Amino acid sequence: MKRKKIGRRLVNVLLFLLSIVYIIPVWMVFVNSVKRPAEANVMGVSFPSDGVIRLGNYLDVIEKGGIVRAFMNGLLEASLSVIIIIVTASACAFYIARVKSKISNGLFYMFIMGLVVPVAFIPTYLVLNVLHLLNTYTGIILIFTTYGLPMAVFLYTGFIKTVPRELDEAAFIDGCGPIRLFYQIIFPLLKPVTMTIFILSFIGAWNDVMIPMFFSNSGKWALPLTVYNFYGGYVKSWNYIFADIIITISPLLLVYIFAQKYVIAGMTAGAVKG
Amino acid sequence: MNSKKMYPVCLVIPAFLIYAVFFIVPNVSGLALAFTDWNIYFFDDIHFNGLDNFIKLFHEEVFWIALKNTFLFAVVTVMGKNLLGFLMALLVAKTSKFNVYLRTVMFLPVTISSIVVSIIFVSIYNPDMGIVNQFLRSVGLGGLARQWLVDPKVALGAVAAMEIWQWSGFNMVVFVAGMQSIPDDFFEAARIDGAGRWQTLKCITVPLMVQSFAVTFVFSIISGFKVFAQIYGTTNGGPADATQVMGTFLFKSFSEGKLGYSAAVGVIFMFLILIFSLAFLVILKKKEVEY
Amino acid sequence: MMKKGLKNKILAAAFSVMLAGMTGCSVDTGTASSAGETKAAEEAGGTETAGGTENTEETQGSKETLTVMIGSGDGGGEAAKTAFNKAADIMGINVELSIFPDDQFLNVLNTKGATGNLDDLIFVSYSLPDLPYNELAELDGDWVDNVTDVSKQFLLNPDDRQTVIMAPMGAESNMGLAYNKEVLENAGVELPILDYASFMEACEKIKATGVTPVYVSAKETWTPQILLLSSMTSTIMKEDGLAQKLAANQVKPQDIQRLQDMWANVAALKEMGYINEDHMSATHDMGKKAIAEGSAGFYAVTDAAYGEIQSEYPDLVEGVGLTITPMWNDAELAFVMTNRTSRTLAVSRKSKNLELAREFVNTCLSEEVLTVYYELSPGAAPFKSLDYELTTSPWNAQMQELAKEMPSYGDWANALFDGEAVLNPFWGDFDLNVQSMFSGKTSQEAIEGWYKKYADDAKAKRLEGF
Repeated sequence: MKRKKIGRRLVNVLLFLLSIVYIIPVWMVFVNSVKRPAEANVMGVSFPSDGVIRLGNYLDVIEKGGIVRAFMNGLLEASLSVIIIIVTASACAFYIARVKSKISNGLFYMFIMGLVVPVAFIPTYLVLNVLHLLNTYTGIILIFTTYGLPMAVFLYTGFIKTVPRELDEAAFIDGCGPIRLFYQIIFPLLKPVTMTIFILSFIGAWNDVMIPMFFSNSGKWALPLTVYNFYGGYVKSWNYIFADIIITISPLLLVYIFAQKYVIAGMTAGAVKG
Repeated sequence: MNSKKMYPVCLVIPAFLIYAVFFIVPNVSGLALAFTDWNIYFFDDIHFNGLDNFIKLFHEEVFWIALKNTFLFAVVTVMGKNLLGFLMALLVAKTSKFNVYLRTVMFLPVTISSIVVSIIFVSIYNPDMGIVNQFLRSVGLGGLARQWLVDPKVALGAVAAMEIWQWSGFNMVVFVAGMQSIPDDFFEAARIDGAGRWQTLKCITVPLMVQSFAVTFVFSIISGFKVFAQIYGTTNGGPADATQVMGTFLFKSFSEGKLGYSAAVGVIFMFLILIFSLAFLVILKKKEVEY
Repeated sequence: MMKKGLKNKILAAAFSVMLAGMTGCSVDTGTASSAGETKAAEEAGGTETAGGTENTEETQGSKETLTVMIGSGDGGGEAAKTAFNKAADIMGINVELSIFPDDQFLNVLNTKGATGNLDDLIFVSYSLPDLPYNELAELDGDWVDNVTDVSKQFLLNPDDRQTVIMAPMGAESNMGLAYNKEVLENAGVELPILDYASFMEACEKIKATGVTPVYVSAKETWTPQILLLSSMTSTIMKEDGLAQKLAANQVKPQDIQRLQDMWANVAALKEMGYINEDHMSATHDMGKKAIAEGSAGFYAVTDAAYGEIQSEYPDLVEGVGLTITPMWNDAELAFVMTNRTSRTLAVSRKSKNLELAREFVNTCLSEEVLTVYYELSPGAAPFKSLDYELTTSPWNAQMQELAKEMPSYGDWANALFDGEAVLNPFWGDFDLNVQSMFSGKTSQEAIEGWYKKYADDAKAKRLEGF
């Protein structure tokens, strides 16, 4: 028994060291974001040598990088696309999971293809051009939606299969129309997987660089592209780059840290059955 | 029950419409473009050129390097992410304060974009100032210090390590869920039967987690083959194409404005991923039936 | 049951209309009242497509706004930003930069250009044949007749060779070898060095003092290529009609002995151990540090490095000079590399603020703005005569001094052969191939790789002979 306890302690120590490996890169970014340029260029992990935490770097970045607008853009684009993904993909997956037919099967594989196929930028660009959606929020949101749908349909379909069919039938007999049946009875049962999809799609849209860059003008760009204000080809201002990175990732990090209990619970329940 | 009335097609229509307009239309036309000489310099003047693009592609040395690297990268990261993720899941499955801390921390990198992770790791792997080499030197292992992203022998491995760092936490979370969903009776029964830890793991835990493995494997196979931002942000395929993968190879031809050619690369690329992920799904389906 | 079926159909129809509304952006927002979110999206999108103008969230009053597309190399620096803001101040307007990652910039420009979606202005270092030049508006100003002959060629519409469609803002830049004066003095090396053999001797002497003779920062591919960019032109110029033959694919670069020798000479720097050990992971930042602090003797750069070293190592910048890059074997091939204007500004033909954008260009080329720009990015301005002084760097003066004894050409892509830049379209991963010599490829493989790639590009551009 005693040996077992020591063994467990050792494992815990190792796990703790491992957790440091996961934290250090983020720490490095943070600590260098509050240093002088010359010191930040060295990219160490220690505190600023002169002991001064330069939060002014953040103010500079917010001002020079147009952070406020980029933040609002990202919030608008990511959240709206995630909402559309959840509303449409869940209904679609409900059909795919319940109906056994060639159409249903075909639909499933069609969406799965979306996980696999690389983005065809120029043809997509031309489609947006024809629809007059270039340089619009609507265009970006719909493209984010498009690229989030496959994974959402995949996960929803798997999850819905675990929801007993008898529920549908009972509700239907009670006089629910199919749309109400789905959104009122079934959808609430999908909360865990919805959480998973919400997180993964939001992260995907929030972090994307290429879609806004190609399909819109700078007025609608979100946070990740602001780093290019400081990531020049010839001169790089690492303290600003790191501050910009922290600003870009912190909304997700904060939400994650405060809501991690739900995030991981949702992830676990959702992903597994999928 | 009339399933047509209970599950009307209109449920599908919104998702399908968006997907059809913004994914199927562009990609099907992309498929056709693979057989043309379309390029950015003659945007409105496209000619069919048969299989030229494919022939040229198969003659390109870099294409084969990229193919080999993509395969290597996928295998290493699929193994790494799942093994590490599974091992960590075993260790942190029980809910305790320390374990919740570990889960939180290990999932953290998932929230950071791959491009940003790349920027971070470029500095971490820096041969002089990077913390990896500094750490190695400080513990007397200076001999192991390498030019991580430059030496063709280790560069791909270094990027794979970065990818594993970023995504093993995701797999861990999925595995934890899988373990927690196994009813305790099973373990109880195994204990009564006198099964050891290893046997329990082999005969109960793993087989009952097939669903979890399905999710993590499909995701890691696809992300392994589709690897792009990680290479693009660190080595960008260099030095001298030694770390080129399909994703960067495709992107390069696209960046050069050779749109027909890059569509052809995309087609080959797609078939490759399809074959591997479908093969895996088929194997898995069989396994699922067995138990 | 019938009733319900009908209701479903209506619901489905409503949903589709809503979607159509989102995609078409034309449906009255009232119909989509069931979904507040999509409505918001539509409004946000709708005003954009309808109005088309840029002043959305920016609440800087009723000022007009011009947008400029710019690569991250320039957009991440200060010179262009400061100059544009200055010009906007003078005109009483707003200017906004769309900064694109450098490696995507050309692609974005061409894609957006081909569909008529460029911003009001573009600020580039590319040549016109690579750009969607049909989308660019004609420019006019008192500067037009004042542009030097070297630069003027590159501002004209390639189709008619008359209309000016780009405005020269950046200096006519020099490329060459930056050197640390003290290191050379200690080693007893004297400048100028006119051929490769003498250069090797100099390297040997420097090495003997324990200093790295040549610093190579091949992590960023644009730096090592300067070794050859700044030295190949005279070799091609030497033989009449050779450039034209290369352009017509009648001769390949690897078939020209002199060129082959030069590539081999560059590769030999590594073989002889004259370059830094960590050359493959070394960056331009490290290169500037090495040359400023004297841990290396030579470092191939563009003259923009002067401004950078000045701001990063103000105490050391006077100890660094610039000289020619003698990779040629024959001393009579010595030349000073001076390129055409390095940065140009152009206006989109389809700009909704066409006249304003044109005025912006002229404001940028005015004394007030150029003064600011050249302070941050010093060099020789691309104008025949100016009645005011712009900041030049001591390096330009050094190179001009050398140019009294030898000819002065652009790099091979920007050099004029019989008055024409015939080799302009033949870029073909030049940088990557030069870099590959430092990561283990032979000079023969590298020069062939360069040819293969540019021939391939030329085919895509449908040039004759390929």
